[in-house]
Amino acid sequence: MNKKHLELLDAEYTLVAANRRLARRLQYDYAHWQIRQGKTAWSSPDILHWQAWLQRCWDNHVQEQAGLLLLNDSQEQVLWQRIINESSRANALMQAPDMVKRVMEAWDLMHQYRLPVFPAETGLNEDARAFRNWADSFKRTCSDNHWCDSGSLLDLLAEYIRGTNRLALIGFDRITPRQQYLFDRIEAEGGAIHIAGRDRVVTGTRIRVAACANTGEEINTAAGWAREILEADTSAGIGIVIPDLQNRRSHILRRFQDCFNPGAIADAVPEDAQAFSLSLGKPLPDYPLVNTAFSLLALGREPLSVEQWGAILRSPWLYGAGEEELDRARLDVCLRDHGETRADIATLLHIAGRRLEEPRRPGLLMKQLQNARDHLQTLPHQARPGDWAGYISHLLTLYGWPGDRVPDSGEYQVLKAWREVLDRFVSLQLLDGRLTYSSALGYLRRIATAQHFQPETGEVPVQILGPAGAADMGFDHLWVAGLQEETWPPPARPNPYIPFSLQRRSAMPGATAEVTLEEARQTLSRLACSAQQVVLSYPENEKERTLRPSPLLKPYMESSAEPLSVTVPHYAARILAAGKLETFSDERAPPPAAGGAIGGTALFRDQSVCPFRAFARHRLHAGAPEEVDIGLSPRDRGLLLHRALHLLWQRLHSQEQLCAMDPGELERLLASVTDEVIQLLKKRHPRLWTERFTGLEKARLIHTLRQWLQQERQRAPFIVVAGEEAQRIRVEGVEVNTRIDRIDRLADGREVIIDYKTGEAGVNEWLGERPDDPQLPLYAVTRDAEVAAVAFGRLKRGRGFGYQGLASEDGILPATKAFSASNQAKYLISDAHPVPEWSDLLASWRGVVAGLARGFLDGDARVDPKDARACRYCDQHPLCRIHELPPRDADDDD
Amino acid sequence: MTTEQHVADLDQRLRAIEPDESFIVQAPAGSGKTELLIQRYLRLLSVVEAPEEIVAITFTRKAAAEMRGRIIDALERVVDGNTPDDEAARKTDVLANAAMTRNREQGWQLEDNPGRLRIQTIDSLCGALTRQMPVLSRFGAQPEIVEDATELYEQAAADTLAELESGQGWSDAIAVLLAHLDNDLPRIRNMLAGMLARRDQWLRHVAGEIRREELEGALRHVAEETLSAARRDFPDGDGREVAELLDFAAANLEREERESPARACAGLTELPSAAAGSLPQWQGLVALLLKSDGNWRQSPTARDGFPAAGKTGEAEQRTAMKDRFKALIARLSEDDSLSRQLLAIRHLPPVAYTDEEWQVVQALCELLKLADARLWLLCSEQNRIDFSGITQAAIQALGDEEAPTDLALNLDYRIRHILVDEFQDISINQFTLLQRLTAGWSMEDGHSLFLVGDPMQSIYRFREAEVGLFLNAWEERRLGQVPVTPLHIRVNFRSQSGLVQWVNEVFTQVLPQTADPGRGAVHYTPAEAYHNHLDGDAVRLHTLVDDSQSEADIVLQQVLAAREADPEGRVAILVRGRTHLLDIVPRLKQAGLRYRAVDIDPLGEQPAIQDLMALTRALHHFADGIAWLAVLRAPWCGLDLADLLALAGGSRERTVWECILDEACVQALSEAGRGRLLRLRPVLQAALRDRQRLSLSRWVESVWLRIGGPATLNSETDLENARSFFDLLEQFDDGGDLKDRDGFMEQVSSLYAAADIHADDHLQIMTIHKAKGLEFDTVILPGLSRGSRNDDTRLLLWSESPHRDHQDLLLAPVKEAGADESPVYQFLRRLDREKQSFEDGRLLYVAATRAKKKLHLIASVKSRERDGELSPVPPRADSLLAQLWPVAEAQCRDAVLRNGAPALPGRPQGSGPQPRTLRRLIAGWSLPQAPDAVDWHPRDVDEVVHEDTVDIEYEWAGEAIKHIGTVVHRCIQRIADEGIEQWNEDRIRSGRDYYRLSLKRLGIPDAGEDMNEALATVEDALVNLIRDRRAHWLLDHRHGDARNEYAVSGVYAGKLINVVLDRTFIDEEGVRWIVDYKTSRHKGGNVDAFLDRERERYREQLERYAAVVRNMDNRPVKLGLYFPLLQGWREWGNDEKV
Ligand code: SF4
Repeated sequence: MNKKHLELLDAEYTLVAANRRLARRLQYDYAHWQIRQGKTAWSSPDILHWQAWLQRCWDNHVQEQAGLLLLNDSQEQVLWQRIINESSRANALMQAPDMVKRVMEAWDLMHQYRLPVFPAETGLNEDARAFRNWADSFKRTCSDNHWCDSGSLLDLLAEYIRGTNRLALIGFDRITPRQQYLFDRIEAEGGAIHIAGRDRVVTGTRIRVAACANTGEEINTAAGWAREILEADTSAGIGIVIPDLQNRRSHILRRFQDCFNPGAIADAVPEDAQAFSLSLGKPLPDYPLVNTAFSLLALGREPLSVEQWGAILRSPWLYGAGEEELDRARLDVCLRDHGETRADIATLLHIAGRRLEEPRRPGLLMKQLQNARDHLQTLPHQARPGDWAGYISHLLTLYGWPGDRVPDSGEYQVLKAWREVLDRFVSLQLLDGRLTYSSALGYLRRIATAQHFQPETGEVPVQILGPAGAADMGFDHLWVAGLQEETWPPPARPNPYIPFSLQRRSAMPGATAEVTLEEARQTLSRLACSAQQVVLSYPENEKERTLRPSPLLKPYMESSAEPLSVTVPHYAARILAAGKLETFSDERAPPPAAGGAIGGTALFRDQSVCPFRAFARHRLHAGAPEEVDIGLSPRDRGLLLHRALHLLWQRLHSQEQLCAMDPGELERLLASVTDEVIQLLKKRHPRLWTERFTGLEKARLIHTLRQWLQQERQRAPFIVVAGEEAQRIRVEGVEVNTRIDRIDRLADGREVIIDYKTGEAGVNEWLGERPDDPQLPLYAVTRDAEVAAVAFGRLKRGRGFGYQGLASEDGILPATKAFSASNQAKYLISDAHPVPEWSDLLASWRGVVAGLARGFLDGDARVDPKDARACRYCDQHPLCRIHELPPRDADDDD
Repeated sequence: MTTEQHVADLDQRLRAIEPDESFIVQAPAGSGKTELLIQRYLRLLSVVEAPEEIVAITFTRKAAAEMRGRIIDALERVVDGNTPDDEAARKTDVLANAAMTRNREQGWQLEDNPGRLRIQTIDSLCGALTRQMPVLSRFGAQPEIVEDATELYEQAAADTLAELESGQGWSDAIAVLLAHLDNDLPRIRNMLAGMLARRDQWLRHVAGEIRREELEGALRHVAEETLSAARRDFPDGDGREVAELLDFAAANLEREERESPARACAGLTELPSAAAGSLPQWQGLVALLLKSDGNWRQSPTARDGFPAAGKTGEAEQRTAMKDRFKALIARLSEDDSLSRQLLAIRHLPPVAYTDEEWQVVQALCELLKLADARLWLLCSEQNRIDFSGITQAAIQALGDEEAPTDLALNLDYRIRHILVDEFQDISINQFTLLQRLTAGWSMEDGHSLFLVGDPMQSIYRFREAEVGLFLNAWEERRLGQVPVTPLHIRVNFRSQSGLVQWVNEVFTQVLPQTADPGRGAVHYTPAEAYHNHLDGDAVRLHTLVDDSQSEADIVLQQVLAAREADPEGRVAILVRGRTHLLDIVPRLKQAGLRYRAVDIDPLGEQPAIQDLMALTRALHHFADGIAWLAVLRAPWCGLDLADLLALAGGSRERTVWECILDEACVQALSEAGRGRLLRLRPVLQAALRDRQRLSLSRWVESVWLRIGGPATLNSETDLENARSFFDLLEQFDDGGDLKDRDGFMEQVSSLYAAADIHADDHLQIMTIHKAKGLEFDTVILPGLSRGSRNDDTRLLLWSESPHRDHQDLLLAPVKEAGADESPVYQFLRRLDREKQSFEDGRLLYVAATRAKKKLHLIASVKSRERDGELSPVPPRADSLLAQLWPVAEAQCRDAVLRNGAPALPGRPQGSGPQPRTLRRLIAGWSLPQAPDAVDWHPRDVDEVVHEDTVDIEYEWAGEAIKHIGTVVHRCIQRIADEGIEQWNEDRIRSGRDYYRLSLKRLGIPDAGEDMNEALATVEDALVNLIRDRRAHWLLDHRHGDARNEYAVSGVYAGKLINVVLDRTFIDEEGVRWIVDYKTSRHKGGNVDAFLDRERERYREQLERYAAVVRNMDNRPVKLGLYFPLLQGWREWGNDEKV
């Protein structure tokens, strides 16, 4: 404890610190001093921070006499917000949340500098005018309601304060005119003001300037430096000052953790029990616990996206999360599978009920959701904040929040902070009568976001903090980082709502480069002599840019005789060095056990395109949750047409009937068929199938079908003998389940096998040793009847629409020549078959299909993609480890 | 090395520094442009009132930092009195000296405050403007700027489409578009998002009303211009001749019922007019005169309207006509330009939209406006904005031509001088911004504008750069209202004379002959070398025929050769796209060369990152089977396929994690495999249990460390890469959960590996775009024959073309799903391709001019045989080699001939499966100990953070009781301070307003039951108090050492605690009392039992107080609880506890 401070306390001064952090530090130092005196108990010294002192004065001196009510900051903020919203400019403005902050700051500045809000008309720009309007309304609202805002507080204090108040101000880098006025009044009343701290100079300070490679290195080095000092002297007080702390909070925390306790991350020790603390919180909703709460509350307002549901289903903050984690994950898969981008509680419950069987159903969660939904239905349309606080917290409890895991100390504090948010929310009652659920949530979130929260830890040796007040913390060792030219002195940031000329005249903080320079210079020189050992550092690079030291470092540059050498422990590097690796070959799996169908025809396709893929998909069943997109999924688009065609042919049966049908009747048939298939999907996706969308989709379907039937008319006569027929096929001991889209019989009894495609498709996919799509060849060689042709029914609009097939002779399919005369025949040309025939094709297919089956049965699992395209549309990359292979020759860039 | 000579364009350079004139300067590669900028900047400093009056705009932040650095260096040299010896720098220093004098006079303190030099990118300038004009820019306050706003665009696009059902006017427009594009929502969303990304270009086109006459007028103008050009070039005497031939052909065609455009020419007697209405006839003419490949038709056939002579009576006439036709062609083909003009006619769009097309155009325009509005809405909801949005806002804030914003009032400093670097890469929006900023500047009011750049180096079309803007400003000698004097500097200080000569020679041919702002064509302006010629070839073109050798080998040879020739020289390998390096990078690695590559190696494909990705995905989702299996197969675990199968092959219902936990499954593994799995299992178990206790990236990292992830890496550089991964992961942390898995995966794939930490800058690899502004001794350009085009289909194409005094707008909608592209769309796309092709030529220029001493070009060509003659296949049109072809063809032909006939096209039968091995940690590997934690102890004692650790009630049940307690406490304190005997009931009741205020402030609503009840309770409590004799005793001021609200600190159970005692005093017997007030209420009977329970509830708390107080004075202590509402009292001695 600073001797001066003790003297002041003895003289019955109240020590008022500029900020909470400093007040805490002073209190702690006092306790420390007491303990060293051998005391174990003492009267608490009168040390508090500025805001707390104001509050106390208000309570003691003003409230009763003035009969005014002091707004808290949430109330003030909401009031400003409301005034801006209700002003004529509101609609044109984007209204970033920062806006209210800047406006309030302008209001505060005007008060601090004892300036009226722009009485003169001239020299005002749009921004200043807008501000003046808002300020007028604000002032009017306050006085109408007998409210006092923080801006006017000091004036009232000056007016009402009585008695001998003795104040020692610590850590105040600047005294504003308004503060000065108050202090003058206090002195006039017989009190005393002592401005402490400015005289604190540690003599014999050793100052060094350190250049670090980049900001990351800078923090690392600072951490390593602090660690070394601490190891040499466990009683040292160390400060690390970082100007832009806010933006880099998590980086800094991480680097200090890794340096001070490199193994902690591996033990997953939560963040306390550290030797350092960071004096800056993050917004409350960034804490997982509160984040989940807000997601749950959002459910009461609108259906959530599949991603948001995913987060809820994974959240450990819901009762039963541990027990049901796998079932909840499965539910997530079902939800994604369902195909809509958003879902409400009812939908989710419906899906869970339909798709998941006991005991794989997350029963606890379902119950909780149900209860919450019931409660939601009882909520009033509008209510007062106080009532909402009750409803909302009850709602959360029904959801099972905050879960059954025992909270650790940090989480416990977060819960407490959440309660405080509710309290603040309730305090809005002062301003607003009744709110809807939505606006209540909005306010709640705004309040929570404004609440920067950091779980408190005990007083620790290393403090990481911003520059404000740091010089008065009484550190023994101090590191000031981030002193590069770009940021130090910081650029001027005048408040845009106050005319610039006025700010410049009054030298308001941040108004001009001169002001910021002066401030930066003072801050730095005070920091530089506030500890025995001071390091001033800057990064030399940022990404590709080279940075320069702040010019304000120049006076200290010479004195930095010995360069800093710090070793920072690095666990990951140690693990890296300890790596002992072996290589092994892993291309063949044990053959599958005999018997039983293994999959669908995709097995053959995968085996052909890449044996590993077949292994992964069909033996390991490796899949991943799917992404959900807006609109119809490609799968559903295919399904619609498949089903529609199926129904259509069930009614039409043969080409003859098609051709004979009266056009009007055909149109009716098309309409009824499409209606029928759409109904099928509509039930599942009510949100997607809106009226207009349904109309569009129906038109699209009918159009496609009509065009398609045109193709059918051009074929040789046929009857449709099977559609979507499930069958089990066996090739070389591989059994697969199939569903052939369609089989037609020609007049002579031969068959045509058809596979509908809604995407790209062409006959070349059946050719070669490793066909891209061996499905139709597979069917062709396993039918009992003679196959006269195989064809894709390509349903995609545009070029290639229609039949794409290979046929034994001309005329079976529209515009399709006999195979022997087709372009594709040349693939089969060999010495034995100079002119390949249809039968040769079938024979070659037999060979190919059998080969694929054998490969699969052999457990062939080589990573051997047929071409680069194969990998592009494959999701198995992480499993097959294709990227460990040397890269292939790239196809050209298209 | 060189003998210095006089700088030939010194006069121009000196003039460019003069502050009272505005300039536009063309400064080609190597001409010392930055030095010039700096000199002007310094010169301006010496004439302004404040340094903020000068704004210098650079293209990148890096360039801004460099420029500022060099200016400060110059200023510092003045302070330190150092003078350099090179001429240009000496000039700079003279200027710096004057600037410093001004600095001192004005007290700017620039040396301490270099931030005052406003040297910034245009984006940060816009940011500064909007920040200073929050209302005019409509932001209110600065939103967060996102560099990649794809997510916003996509969301806004989806929101737009969701308006389908809104029943608003625009719903129909959406329906039209959906029907047009096959109702494919995701695709339409993506296209719309793509449009939003470049909305700065189209917004002004769709903002107003779209009129069909106007747009079709524009189409007509295009046709008419082309037709008149063709008419002009058509030889005067042949008009009639061609008309007769056409008429003849048309008649024949008609008779034989042959379809042909030439049929439109029936009855023609002279050359068709240039009116748009004649377009069909012109098209007929072109169809007849030119073959489909664009060459002259040498002998027409019946299909063209010239039937064979045959035996009919017309035979003679037919032969004659054919001969006349041939003669005509012979005459016409003498003029090259004529065939080009005629070809242009073939590609002309029709002069009217079809009704369907028009409907789509209208719908699109409406939709785009709507999408823009939705984007704005979304941005305000999310408080984020893209660069384009900031620029737009800045423009808006600056006002328009009629009502410009008064900047003197709105900005902190008046902008007097603007310098713009890289002016050739400015976009339309940025250009508009400059116009607005300079609105109202006049010739002699002390303002100046300085635009510098090199249109030949305009290579940022993909960032909306419009080189035409530079050309126009140069032509018109003005930007907006500000007249600018064109200046051209031409001395190249960078490259040796041999290179400069080569570049002069080659690029006169590569770049177009004439500049054309509308088409983005820039012609070549030669440079003059400053340095002498070096020995040997300055430029070498290496030709590879039919992959006879790999480009990678040549690159390697040349790198080694350059190194041998000059070990200190810097070599760069420059490519257009990263994929062009796929072979080269491994080849360099193989040869043991170290290199510095910025943003070249995609990180996402590195096995280490893939493994991390798998781990993240697995932890993220139990059902991600691929990821879970991948985690087990990754080198830190290394299960083989047999083990994976044994573990997870059994059932597709169960997740992999269930199998891992299932002992039966684990037993099925091989023994080694089991060992491997069991090393991982506890780590994963613990991590999953503690989900969301660490931040997402820390959580994954923690698992990764514990399972030995780093041990599977190759080098420290990999560790850096892992770091990048975790940093990115942190950005996707949404309350500890991974937000947007797929978005994250996509972002990972756009990460690049860290530069090799052991490499110096002697060998560098980068893209040509990155190399802009840099120089190297040797430059190697591989991959010249590779293409680059990625033609994405856009919803709307547009183009502006000048017509008379205004800009004509051409719009073309995307084609209907399944249909062919419309002719208008094709036409615009061709224009776009042409622009791109011009830019390709400039890209090559940029690449070539990076070299100081030597340039290597590597061209791979294929050979072909036609009519027994070998020739090279012309390169892809979108390759850089295509640009170079005019000068490279001859050499390539030679190379082809030398190489001989191509090998028969054997289909490269897949390289066959490469036998491969995987890596994994050895069996039984164990994690090394972590470095020790710092050894520290809290000073003296721990501090206790919470005073009371009562369980938190999660439910909020109104805080009235708590608030009442607070008010009552405060009042009792006052009563005690003033003396209880001063108080009576009236006085208490008269404090009602005060209580009300206090309660209100705490959150109890003013009007209503709650307030009345609370007020009554407070008053009851206080009235009871003053009526209660015990209270009088408690508050008796005659007690010794009596204190109210007494704050005490001390050590309790080894911890530091702070407590506040409601009341404490020493009674006559010397006993220290510690009393707490409790405003508990109790309804119903048996108050005593209630009070007993309350005592138990608070016993611990009071005894803690006692323990502390006893350390202060060693008296006997008694504890009391006082209940004013109940007039209740409980007391006990402290020792009763023991
Ligand atoms: S990514 Fe390529 S190599 Fe891997 S499984 Fe898929 S297709 Fe085979």
